[in-house]
Amino acid sequence: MTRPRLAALTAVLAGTCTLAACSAAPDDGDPAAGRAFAPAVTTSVPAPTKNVEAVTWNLATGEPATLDPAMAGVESISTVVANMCEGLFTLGPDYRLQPALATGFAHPDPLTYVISLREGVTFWDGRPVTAEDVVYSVRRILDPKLGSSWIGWAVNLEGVEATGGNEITVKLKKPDVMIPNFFAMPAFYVVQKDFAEAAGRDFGTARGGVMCTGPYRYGSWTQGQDITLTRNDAWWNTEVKPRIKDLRFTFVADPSAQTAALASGDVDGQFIVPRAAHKQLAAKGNMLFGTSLSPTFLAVLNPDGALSDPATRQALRALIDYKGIIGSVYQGTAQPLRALVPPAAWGYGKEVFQAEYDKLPEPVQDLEKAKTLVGRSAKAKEKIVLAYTTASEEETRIATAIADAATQVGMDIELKPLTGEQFGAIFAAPQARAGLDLFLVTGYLDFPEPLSYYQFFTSSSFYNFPGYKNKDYDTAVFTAMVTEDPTARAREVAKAQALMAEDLVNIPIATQYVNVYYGPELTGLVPRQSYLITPWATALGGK
Amino acid sequence: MTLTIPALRARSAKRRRRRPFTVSLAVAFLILVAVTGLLAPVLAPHPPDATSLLNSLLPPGTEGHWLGTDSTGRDVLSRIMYGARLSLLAPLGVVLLSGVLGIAVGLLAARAGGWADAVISRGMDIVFAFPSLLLAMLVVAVSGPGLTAPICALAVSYTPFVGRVVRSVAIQEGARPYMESYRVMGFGELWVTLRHLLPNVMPVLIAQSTLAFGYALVDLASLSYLGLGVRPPDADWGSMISQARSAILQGEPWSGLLPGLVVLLTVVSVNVLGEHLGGSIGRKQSEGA
Repeated sequence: MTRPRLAALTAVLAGTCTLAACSAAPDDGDPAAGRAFAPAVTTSVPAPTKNVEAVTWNLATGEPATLDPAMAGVESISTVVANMCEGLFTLGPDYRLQPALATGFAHPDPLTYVISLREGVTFWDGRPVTAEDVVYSVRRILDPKLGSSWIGWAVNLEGVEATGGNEITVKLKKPDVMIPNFFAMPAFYVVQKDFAEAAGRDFGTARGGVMCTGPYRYGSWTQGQDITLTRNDAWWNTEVKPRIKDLRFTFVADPSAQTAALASGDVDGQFIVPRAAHKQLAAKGNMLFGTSLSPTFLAVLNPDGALSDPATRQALRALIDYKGIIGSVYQGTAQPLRALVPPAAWGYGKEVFQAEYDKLPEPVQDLEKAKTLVGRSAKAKEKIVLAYTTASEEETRIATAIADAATQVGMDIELKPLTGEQFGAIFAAPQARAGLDLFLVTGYLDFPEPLSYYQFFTSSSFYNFPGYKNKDYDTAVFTAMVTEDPTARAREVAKAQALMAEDLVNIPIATQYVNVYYGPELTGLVPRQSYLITPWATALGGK
Repeated sequence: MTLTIPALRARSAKRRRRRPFTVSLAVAFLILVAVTGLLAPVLAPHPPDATSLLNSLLPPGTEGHWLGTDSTGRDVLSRIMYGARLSLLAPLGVVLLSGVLGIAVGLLAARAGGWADAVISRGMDIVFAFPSLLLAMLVVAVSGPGLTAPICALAVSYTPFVGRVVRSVAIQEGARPYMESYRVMGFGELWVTLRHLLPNVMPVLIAQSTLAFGYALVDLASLSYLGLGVRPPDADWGSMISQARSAILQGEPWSGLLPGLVVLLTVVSVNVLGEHLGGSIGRKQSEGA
């Protein structure tokens, strides 16, 4: 070997060893102890006592494409917009509706909601919020040309009108108990009509900006670099005092770079912290977890192949290593699921839901049972193509483990890794679903209403990809949608839940915790799924 | 005993030609890797795809898992052994395919001469200027992940490496008197090229291909690292390193470090062998001259 090559080899080995040394080291040479990081759900943290001049917050999902509140259905957009724009209501820590730009609503009949607007609220430029601005904002989202994902709320909408100086009325074609939840969603975020019309297509872009009423006003956006928001000292909500003056968002999407930036303090905080960095960051600052409204599950796409036999679907459920997934893949930051909608999303009728949930089969791996089921079914031995996104390391590991367990019980699962874009196409284009039998997916509910998820699997729903048809299921969901009484509604929803669990159109796996990290000098923010639609930065401040 | 000067020279030349220790070491390592890959079903302690989530990221030295386990609890040693198959076969495919294409293009350019040589040479310059890894990524983007497309794309990228050498040696050989004598004797151009010219090109080609094998191995490992190579759950060294990224962040780098080390040692071994072959051929040609 020549000297240069020896030197090169030495350099590479030294580099690799340095990389290993730079990563988080297991505790005291005991690898088992190193893995014994035990995250717990945080429900409260000390309130901030000091003002902070500036905080740099990283958006784990990268730079937003726009800051138009109508498009706040994407994590990167929602995380920023939630601090600038407000709906008529907001969600409290318990996910219950709280007044925001409205003070309350009346519901004189099942088809009518009369909403009283708060007086004296102004946009950042000092102009008052009018009923006309509110109606404009709501109707703007209903324009299909805009392409807002929030248009879906209006499927039963008859119309929305200004019925007074400080009053709007929402009329429905048929009763829909989920409607009030949308008053706190971006579907009802209020923007200034004149500003939006003048900005036209530039509204929400770096050039056009936005005009809202929230606790932080749009400052600047240097594309590819950062977005800066500045505290709105004229915010109507005088009960809450935002402690941070300037909020700067960065767009580091690479997990390794995120970890380095958070660990070094270059970035003060971030939601969706890479799992591999949890232990390292927990030792440096506030690595916090909260329950989420998010299920991870296997969804059937092809109703005609191997999965047409219920025995195949039952075998699939039996072969999932729930314990390993929770303990190893999610490192304890998740809970196994018996039903598609996680318990945290029971926004009402908790006793009813709990009783019915407990009756569902316990999620445990039982390879013998899976083998027996496969032995009984010829269909179960046919090839199943399982799609998953490589954008999620956790889902890659889960899919790999499922495929291996399937082999052990005599099933044949072919893995189909997809990029984030390819995976996203599954939801939009039938051709993207061609050739796929099953996909591993993580979804989330916008608000704690199980119906909002179960309605996707009624026979007429666009998102009912396998064409699931069960009259009893449809009846239960549609009855629930017009049932105002929470307990009675919970019974109907639980009925639908039990039918879905029996038919196994979807195989629930786990519900992950939502997580956040912020530096040791900060406090006040409890991680909740609602950070996407509430001004979370107002809770944060100095210790 | 008295040695004459010619005898001393002969001994000195023999000493010079003796295979260096590093080359022996490299050959031994490559044989070891090839045999390990070939006999992986017999030698590997576990099936390469057998997962055990609760036994993930076990450190090297754990009972039953000498080199530890990866993030899904698969045995690292078994995956390295099975991974040798794809990690060595795929570059071999690139080398063979680029060898065939390079010989055809190089010989055609050398024997045709004139405008055909100019066109082929400029064509090779253009392909040569395009980064091989980028071309492979573009092809994968169009055709989807898997090994066939990257092998073909890399083979096309590597063709100028082979083609240029073949053309250069073929032009040199073509100018030698023995080639002219075959033509005078009435043998056809194709017969002379294949029967007499090609065998003289082969030694140089083998040395060049050995080096190309190392480059191809690294390129294919890079593609697998980027998730564009082998399809899961198949094992290859590049994808093993890729899958270990988060484990490295967690302070448990072994499942990525070890396949990385194997890639490193294999590439170094191949390069040592390639350079040795190239040097030997050069010496023989100088001695022949």
